[in-house]
Parts: sequence; structure tokens; C-alpha cells
Amino acid sequence: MHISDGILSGPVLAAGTLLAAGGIGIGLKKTEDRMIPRGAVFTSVFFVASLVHLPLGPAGVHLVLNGLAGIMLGWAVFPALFLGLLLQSILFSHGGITALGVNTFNMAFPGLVCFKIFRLMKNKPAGGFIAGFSGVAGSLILLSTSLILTEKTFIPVSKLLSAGHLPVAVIEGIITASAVKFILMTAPGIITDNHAS
Amino acid sequence: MDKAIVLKDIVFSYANGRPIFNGLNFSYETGRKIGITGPNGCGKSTLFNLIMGLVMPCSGIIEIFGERRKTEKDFSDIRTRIGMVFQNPEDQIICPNVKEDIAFGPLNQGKSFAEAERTASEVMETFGLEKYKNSNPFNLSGGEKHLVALAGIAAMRPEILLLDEPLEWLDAGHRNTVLNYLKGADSYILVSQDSGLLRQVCPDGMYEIDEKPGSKM
Amino acid sequence: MHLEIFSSGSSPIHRVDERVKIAVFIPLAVYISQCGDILRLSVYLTAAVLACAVSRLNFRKIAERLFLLNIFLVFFWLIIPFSFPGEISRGADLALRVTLKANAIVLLTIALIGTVPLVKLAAALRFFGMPDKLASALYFGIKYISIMHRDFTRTKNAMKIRGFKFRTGLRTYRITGNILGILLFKSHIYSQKLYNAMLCRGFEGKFPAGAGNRLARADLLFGATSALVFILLLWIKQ
Repeated sequence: MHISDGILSGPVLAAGTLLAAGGIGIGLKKTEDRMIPRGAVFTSVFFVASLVHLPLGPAGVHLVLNGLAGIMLGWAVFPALFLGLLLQSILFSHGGITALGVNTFNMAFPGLVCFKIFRLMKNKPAGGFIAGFSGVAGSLILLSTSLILTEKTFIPVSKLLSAGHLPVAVIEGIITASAVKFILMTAPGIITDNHAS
Repeated sequence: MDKAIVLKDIVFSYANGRPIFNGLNFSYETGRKIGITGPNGCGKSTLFNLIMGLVMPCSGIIEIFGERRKTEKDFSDIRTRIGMVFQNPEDQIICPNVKEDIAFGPLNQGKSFAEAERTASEVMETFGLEKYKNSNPFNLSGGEKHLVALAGIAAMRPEILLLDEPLEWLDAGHRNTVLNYLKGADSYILVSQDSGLLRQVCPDGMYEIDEKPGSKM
Repeated sequence: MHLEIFSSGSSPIHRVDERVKIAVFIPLAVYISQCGDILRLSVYLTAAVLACAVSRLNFRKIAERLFLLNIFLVFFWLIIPFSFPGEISRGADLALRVTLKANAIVLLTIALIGTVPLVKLAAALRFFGMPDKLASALYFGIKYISIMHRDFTRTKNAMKIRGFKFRTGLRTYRITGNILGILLFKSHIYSQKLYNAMLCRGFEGKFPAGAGNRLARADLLFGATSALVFILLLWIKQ
């Protein structure tokens, strides 16, 4: 899901970086100082969660969780995912540093959209499923767009990537719905008192 | 009595290099109620983690129920036959509903929903938790959480119990509930720094782990 | 959780100031990502390998890092050359360029950024203008990774000892959602405690302590040499 270095063209990288910077700027402005610890600790949760390897048939998948991140953070999903991706890039070489802007935007923007959808659906677990699914689906669409804008001949590769990740989208829908249900039953304030909206 | 748990020449250090055991030998037979004590950091919890296969020794042999256990697969067979209660039982709660959480173990053991629910109900009665059956365990008090965690383990009807400071943070009422449960159990290893408690509930022996990493037990 | 596998060491590159390394890395990485010349890319790749060698980094660990990347590139090679109808060599050229670029940049990242302890990295980024809020968040994020990982392991263990097995299936995915819910719940509690602790110590919004060291001559030498090599290589092909 995170694209590595060396694949995308200059214009795409630049556009992604600008869009991400914009999103991060807005996200930071909307996050009060006292919510920074929350955002920071959430970043480490998503970092650790991305290490989860779930069985799917013979192989397995790693989770993206941008939908869940969006639900929890609102606009703050931009800086939080940016930092998470930065750490993943440095600590695991998952995703490239030059592609950091593009990856951030591709994951955070759908996350933000999921946040809005979730609110519209009145913060219910079903909304969680849609968010989990759309988060992955959205970032697949943006990833494919990035690849195709770089080179038309990347179309088959992006088709393959998207098809391969569709099961992940469904799984994340289930997981997100379950996580949302858990939080709503345990401490609903974490979701509903979202200040970075 | 067959030895259910055998640890031979176990050498173990933590990832940060701190050595815990240097050739530990330990054995346990079903039907005994024994206690283990020792200063903080001497390895009491580590002993349990080794038995349950949550950590692997640097060297040494572990035999549970007569078979050598080395890989994750080897240990997965024993995990519901030996019930371990963490030192911080709050870490053991998985579901945001008491009944569901207690039924978690039996479901994993292959019981049907109906059987698992029945078992959960029985265990809730034993521990006086029926009034909480629809509560969210994460929002209960510390003592109640401990009971829920213990109930979750008890619901698996384990052959042997491993208990790490089971009475810590419990008030008198809850302590009695747990002590009554222990009276009805027949095989357990109990770790505690409270030697009075150990004398009370561990008639079959008490062991002490040396504070220097070693093999004394 | 010991994640920083390359950042402790005493090689010449470890000893270079992290700000210089970042200042060298970014233009170089950006340039390599846009460079189309296979010969030059090969030189840069070699330079990146040399940088890793000079840093005396564990070869096997580096190989593990490159593994995933190159598995993905294998797919690339299987598909791209055949996406150019009739011109397989053009496709192979593209695939080769991408392979060289990706590996070169990743190795360079490991050698120049991977050799910086994370906390120093956060301070250096702040030096380069990262907003305080973001730098603080990075700093705390780094600190809390090991805590969240510990909690994650505990929850996983709690499930293991009750006989739960991770399998393909609805129940596994639902229970995974529970795990995430637990982690998020705990993170909420931690963040409140963290904030309170910060308030009690007069937090005013500025973390971490700045990278105030003056640059040593060796740092400037490294920076100048890298810039020179970079420019020379740019020149050569002309």
C-alpha cells in the first residue's frame, strides 16, 4: 500500500508532497496543544497495528487501518499518518522517503473522507465497516492514480495491486466495525469527542 | 503421579540481557498445590511464561504432559489445559462484555455457543458475577476485573492452574470468593510474596527462587 | 521494542552530525528518484552500497530490509516489460531503472537516516523547520511505540493462553478489532496521563531539547565531499 522510492515521477511526487503538506498544516491547526499527546500515542498504536499479520488463505496481509485512523482523528489523521509512515519508512523500509508526501496523502485523504462518512452515519459500527472498507479502497484508487499518472504502462500493475488488496478492504471493514463497536461500548467519548473536525 | 510439568536445565535471559535462570530444574505433578515465592525480578512470572510457551528458553528442555514442547504448535495444545492468570489480570480481558469474555475460552476449546454460554453462566455463579453479566468488564472496578479474568480461565476447566499474585488488589469479599474457588481446585502453582497466604493454601510445598540467576528452587 | 537496528554504531558515518546527513540525503534521494540514466544510477547504487559498508552495518539485516522491496520489484519485472506491446526492451529498461532507483534510495536511507537515533532525528527535523507540534508528536510517538507493542503482546498472549488461534475467518477478524479497540482504549488513557504529567512539569509546547551542537569539522568535510561527488557525477555525463 505504501509505494516505495524510485517508482513515481517528479510531478506526482511533488503534487503529493504539496497536498500532504497542506493536509498536515490544516490537521495541525485544528489540533489543540492538549490533543497532541493523544495524536502522538495514536500514531504509535497505528504503527504497532501495522505490524499485525493476519492470515488470509495461504498467505497473509498487513493492515492499513487508515479508515480507523480517520474515524479516531479527523483532520489530525494527516499529521498522525505522516509520522507513522515516516517511522515505517525509516524503521522497516516500508514505503519510500521520497514518496512520503504521496503516501501520506493517499492514505490520509481517504481517512478524512471516512471520518466524514462515519459522522454522517451517526457513529455506528456499520459506519465503521464502511469506513474500514473505503479507507483501503480509497487509498488503492489514489495509489493507482499515482502510478498511472506516472506511466500509462503502469496500468496493469495497478490493476493487479488493487485486485490483490480488495480482500484486505473487506477484512479491514470487519475489523474497523468491531473496533468501533468495542470503543462505543467501552469509552464512546474517544470517538465522539473528536476535536480535530 | 506423573510429572505434568518438567523443566530441565533452563537457561533464560531477557532480550535486554538480564539473566534470569542459569540451569533451572523444576517439576510438578498434577494433584499438588504448591507455592512459589522469591524477591521481585527473580523470575517467578518468567517461570509461568516458560511453561505456557509465551517465551522460549535460550537452552534447556520443557516437557508438559509427558511431551517435549519446543515450537508454538507444541504449546498450543496445552494452553487451555493449563490455566494461567497474569499478575495483572486486566491485561487478560478481551471482550467488552463480561459473559462474552468468560465464554471466550470455552469457545476456543471448540464448544458450541450454547455450551459456552452455559459454562460461562456456571462460572459467573461461582464467582458471584451474575449481576455483571451484561456489563463491560473494562468499566468495572479493579477487584471485579480480577474476578472476571479468573472466571475466564476457570471457564476452561483447566487441569492445572498457574496463579500469579491472585489476591492482590482484592477486597475481603473478593478474596473469600477466590479462596473458596482454590479450595475446590486440586492442582495449582501459586506465586506470591505473601508467605502467610502460601502457607494457608499450598499444603504440598513451597519453593523459593533465589535472587541470583541460578538453578535453586 | 528494539526497532532501531542500525542507529547504534561508531563508524565514520554514524559520527557525522545528523543534520548534515539529512541535508545530504534529501537532494540526493530526490535527484536519484528522477534520474533516468542507467549508468549514473548504477554509480549511485554502488555509492549507496559503499555508504552502508562504511557504516559497518549488518549485511544480513540490510538484505532483510531489501527483501520485501525486491519481491515487489519481481512483480514489476514480470509485468512491465510486457506492457509495452512489441517493445520488450523498453519495458525492461523502465523496470531496470526503477529497480536501481529504489534499491539505491533505500540503501542510502539506511546508511544516512537509519544510522541516526530516532530521538536525534526528531530534534534534527525540528532544526530544519518541522513545526513544534509535529516534532513533539513525533518525539512522543517514538517513546510510546515500545509501550503499545508491549500491550499488544500482552493482549495477544492473553488470547493465546485461552486457546485462540489466528485463522482465516470472520471470528479472527472480529477479535482483531477487539485488540485494536483495547489498544486504542489504553492509548487514550496513556495520552491523558502523559498530558497531565507534562502539565505538572510546565509544558509550554516545546519538545524535544534542540539539537544544539555545533557542527564539527568532520561534519562539514562529509557534507562538502558529498556535495562535490554529487556535482561531479552530474557533470560527468555532459
